[in-house]
Amino acid sequence: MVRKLIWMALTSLKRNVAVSWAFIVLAFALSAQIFLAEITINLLTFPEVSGIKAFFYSGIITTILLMIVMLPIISEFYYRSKSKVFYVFRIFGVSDIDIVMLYIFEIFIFTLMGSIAGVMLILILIKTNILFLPDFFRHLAVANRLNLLKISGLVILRINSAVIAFSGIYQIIKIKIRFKSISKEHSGGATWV
Amino acid sequence: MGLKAYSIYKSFPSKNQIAGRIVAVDGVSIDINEGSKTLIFGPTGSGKTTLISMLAGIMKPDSGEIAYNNLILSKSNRSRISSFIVENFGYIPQQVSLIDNLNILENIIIPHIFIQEKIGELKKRAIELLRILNLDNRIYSLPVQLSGGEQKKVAFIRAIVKKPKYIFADEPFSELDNSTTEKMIEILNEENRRSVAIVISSHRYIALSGKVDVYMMQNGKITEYRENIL
Repeated sequence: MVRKLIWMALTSLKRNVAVSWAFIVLAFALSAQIFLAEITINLLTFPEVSGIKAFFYSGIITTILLMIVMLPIISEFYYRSKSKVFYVFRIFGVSDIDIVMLYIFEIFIFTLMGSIAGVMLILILIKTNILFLPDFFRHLAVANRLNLLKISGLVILRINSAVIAFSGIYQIIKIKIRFKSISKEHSGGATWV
Repeated sequence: MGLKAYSIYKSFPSKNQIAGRIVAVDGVSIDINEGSKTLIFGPTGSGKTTLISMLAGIMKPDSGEIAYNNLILSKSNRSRISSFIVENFGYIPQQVSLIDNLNILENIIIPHIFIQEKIGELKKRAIELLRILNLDNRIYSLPVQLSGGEQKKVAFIRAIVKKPKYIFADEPFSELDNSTTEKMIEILNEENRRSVAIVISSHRYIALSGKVDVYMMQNGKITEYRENIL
């Protein structure tokens, strides 16, 4: 079953390019930002310069705002792009729960790809010294591999959980609203479609 | 053993408030035994689509009962009957509804992602059926690149590829030429020889071979039942 779901997600990635890549890019941007923030908090020492701190915290707030604004928009586009798929699954007897689980699994695959890419980009930039941090960011030398891997794993887990939780609940609510409005149209008895 | 409908009734709200509700199916009882062939025949607007949608588990009746052996389909909640319908029923809708951004092969396979069978096996069978219906050179085409008749063939294959026990077809041969209709009837006869029950609704008479239960429908009611043998 998992192989079938992965095949389905990869097919969606090929065929539903805009929405799938929207999830990937959002997860990429969020993961990269949050990962930088996490290694800064956990491994580096902030100098006592208020401007640097303000810059740092405004970066985090921007990331959170990005998530709050973009996630509902992308979730809505995803829901609309699946409307025919939803109808076809319904006429072949698939239950709402199974349809939502399928959507959640797809979103999980896209988000995982994006968040892994985001974290890896930052890791590569740091390790190749391309990401040049000013001298006052001391202790980067102690950012050993284990710490970095642990932090990257946590970031991937958190971003994935947040996106899937939000988007999953969004799809459930939209499907329930759709089901209710169709039921009202066919009122006199519940309908499955 | 089989699918039985007892006094099923279905109405819809009318847009015209004076007219009240539109009764699509009015107290219909019908037996569909395993391995049988059933034709629901009647003019446009007689309630055939609504009836076949209810039998296929897509729509619930307002009253009455639809049962498969001991499983009361009409009163069970969707989750409970979902796995039964997914494995056993195949439906060919009147409005084809292919997914625009998937190619033909993907359109055939994806609705069956939840059945037990492997994707590889479904693909093999789909390609064979596409070959029989002369669509093997269009496997990777998108629905927009196909004619209405070709899309109908794809919807046909989509319903039968998983080897269901019951095939429900709502006007499956409209927009098709005689030669394609004959090939599809032959495929259905072949399925029937493997004890698959075939239920077809149509406004024109379909010449299925062997014993066929013919229900004539008018104004939501069954007006006549005949057993035809060809």
